[in-house]
Amino acid sequence: MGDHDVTLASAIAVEARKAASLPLMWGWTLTEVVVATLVARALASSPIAAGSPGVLTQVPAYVMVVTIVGAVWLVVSEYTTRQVSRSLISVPSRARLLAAKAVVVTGWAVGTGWIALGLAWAASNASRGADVPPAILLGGVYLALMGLIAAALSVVLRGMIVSLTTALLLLVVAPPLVDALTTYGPWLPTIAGQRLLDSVVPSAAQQPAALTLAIWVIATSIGAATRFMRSDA
Amino acid sequence: MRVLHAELLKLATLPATWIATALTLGIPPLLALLNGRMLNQALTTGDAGGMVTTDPVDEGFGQVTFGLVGIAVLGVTAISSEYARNSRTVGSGRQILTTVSACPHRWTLFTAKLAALTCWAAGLASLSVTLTLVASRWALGPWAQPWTGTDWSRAVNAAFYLLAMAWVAFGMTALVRNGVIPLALFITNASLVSFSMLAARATEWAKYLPDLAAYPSFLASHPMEHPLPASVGQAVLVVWAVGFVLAAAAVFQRRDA
Repeated sequence: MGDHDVTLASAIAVEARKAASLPLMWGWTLTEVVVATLVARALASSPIAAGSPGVLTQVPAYVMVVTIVGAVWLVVSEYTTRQVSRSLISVPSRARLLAAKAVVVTGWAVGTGWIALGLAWAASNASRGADVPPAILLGGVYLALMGLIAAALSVVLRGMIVSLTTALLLLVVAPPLVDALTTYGPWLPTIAGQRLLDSVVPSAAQQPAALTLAIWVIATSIGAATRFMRSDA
Repeated sequence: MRVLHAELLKLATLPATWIATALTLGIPPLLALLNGRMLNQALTTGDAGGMVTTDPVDEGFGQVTFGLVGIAVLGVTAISSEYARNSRTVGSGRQILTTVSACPHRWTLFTAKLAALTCWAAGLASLSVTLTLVASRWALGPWAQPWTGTDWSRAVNAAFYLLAMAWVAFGMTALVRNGVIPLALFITNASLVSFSMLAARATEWAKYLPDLAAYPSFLASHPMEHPLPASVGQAVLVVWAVGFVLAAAAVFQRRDA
């Protein structure tokens, strides 16, 4: 089949079917939902985070770990099983294959994020305010962006242990520490994202955070695209 | 001894081992330096800024807990590398098949693997704790607390905490034969969004988790209101480590490679 025969839409469909056929992806999805529910219950019993949408702004920080694991798994499993060679035979255009993979990672992360946060809100017994739906929507988008950054890092690094360690260090471990000990915290993706989550009403003060997050996503995507286009599969 | 030598060589040739070593030796001293400098400034000027506490008693010891990131990578890699598939050019096999062919006696193999991990992790933990405490005291300057006999035992307990967590990570990975879940769990638990800390906010039973149980043996302040006594906490940590290692040994002995 020639390159021109495989459209982006069909590449996305194939990648989505491939992801859905991985039993572990269903496992990560279920894990994310369970973790979100348990975290929401734990936070709801704590006076620090009780209330709506207080719980919903804190749950993504924990759920993000599962999103990162799922996103890394989706990419790295291509390399550990050498599936990537067959994928490239099916979709010879590397740009199209990478774009399809990114769409699937984003779709999985945002969809699972919305379901997980919705159930987390239900489990927290918080009151239903007008700010709950936007908080869930924003939380899902935040998780998708974190998943996208983790996936991009995995394309660059390719190994499971190194990709997972790097993604968790960059997105989970370092940001709160850097934020507490230096003035550079707002330049890290998780802190920038958390600033966006803190208020569901868009304001001018959120623009630098949104810009920072966009720069991280674009920079890591460029890195992933360069590595995927130029290196041997 | 030959099996131990082989396992040590194998561990030393894994890139992830050196990443783990760099993380364990790099993160805690760096954090101790940054936090010590902030604390020094806060105590000198009397302006605490956004600091949660200006009590230097846990300075250095608190940062040791972040060494868990590297120690977890080491504990996980020591066994998960055996089950990872090789590249297709060398047959997509797993290292474990070669390993058990070379050393068919599983108890010997498991013991050698654990001993190799223990040697590396013990050295790493001792060095990491030493570097962290030195960095912390240097950054604190005149505000560093006088070094007492209690601090020696706290330092030894902190190093033992890291070693025992390496055993827990190793045992858990051997049980599930995959490094992803233990790695995600331990790295996250070493961060400020720790699942253990979250559990501590919800239930008193969280004090029996390995990390929260061990903290009183080297930290003066504890995230829980009623933590376990230091000696009991150490015992709980040992039970976790021994439990995971014994379960892993039993499974390693009985399951197909």
